[in-house]
Amino acid sequence: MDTSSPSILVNGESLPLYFGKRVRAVVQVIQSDGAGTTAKSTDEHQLIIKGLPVIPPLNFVEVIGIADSNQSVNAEIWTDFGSTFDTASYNQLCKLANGEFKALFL
Amino acid sequence: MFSSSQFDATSAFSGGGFMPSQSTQLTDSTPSPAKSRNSLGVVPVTVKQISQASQSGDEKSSFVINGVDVTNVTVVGMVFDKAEKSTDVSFLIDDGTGRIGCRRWVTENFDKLEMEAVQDGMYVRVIGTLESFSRCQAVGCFLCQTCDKLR
Repeated sequence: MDTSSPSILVNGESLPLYFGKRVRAVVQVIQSDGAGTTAKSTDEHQLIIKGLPVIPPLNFVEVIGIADSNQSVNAEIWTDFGSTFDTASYNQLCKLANGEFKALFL
Repeated sequence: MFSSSQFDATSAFSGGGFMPSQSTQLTDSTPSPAKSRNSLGVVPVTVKQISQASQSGDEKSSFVINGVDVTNVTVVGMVFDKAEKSTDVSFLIDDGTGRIGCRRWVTENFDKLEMEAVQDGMYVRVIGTLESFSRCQAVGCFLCQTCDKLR
């Protein structure tokens, strides 16, 4: 069992807190051209995701990677979640996972 | 554009955001305040919580998480390092808080079919028993469901 390398649940607001750390976020693709993907977080911040393949616009994708700036993530693992996703619940989960229930995650 | 549904912390932390491919009725995992602090049914946990669990010290060989005796747990996460043997399939499950080893004994055809569908990089829900090997916890799975509705 290994808890030394967690991937922290983040949204656009909390991403800047984890610069250089491994994070995970579900974002909605706005534009994808292979070089960098412009996406929207569940709290409607614009993020740049590096290292993704071309993904259909408006699809939701979970990205796990290193936060390399306040608004970008260098993706290592990605999972296409499809065209529908409960962003409100996920956004609230991010807030709770970084706040009141942080001990359950980190 | 986005759903404005009310957030339910209980269902979110019970793994309700991931839909298993098979509909399975799980026993209620939320202990009632009027009952004892012994766990009833399957308890959704994170790997982080398991790492902080202590053994109960009684004859039931259960663990204590947040003051509750827990034996059967459910974890949702991504599969890594799947290894198949003739009698069992082992893999790591990573839920973002950590990685833990899981073992699914394969004795019936149903077991084989279930585990054939599981591949590295997939999201699954495991239901099983907390076990301790060399001071390290692991999960002995009796059910491993792929998550095909990731919303």
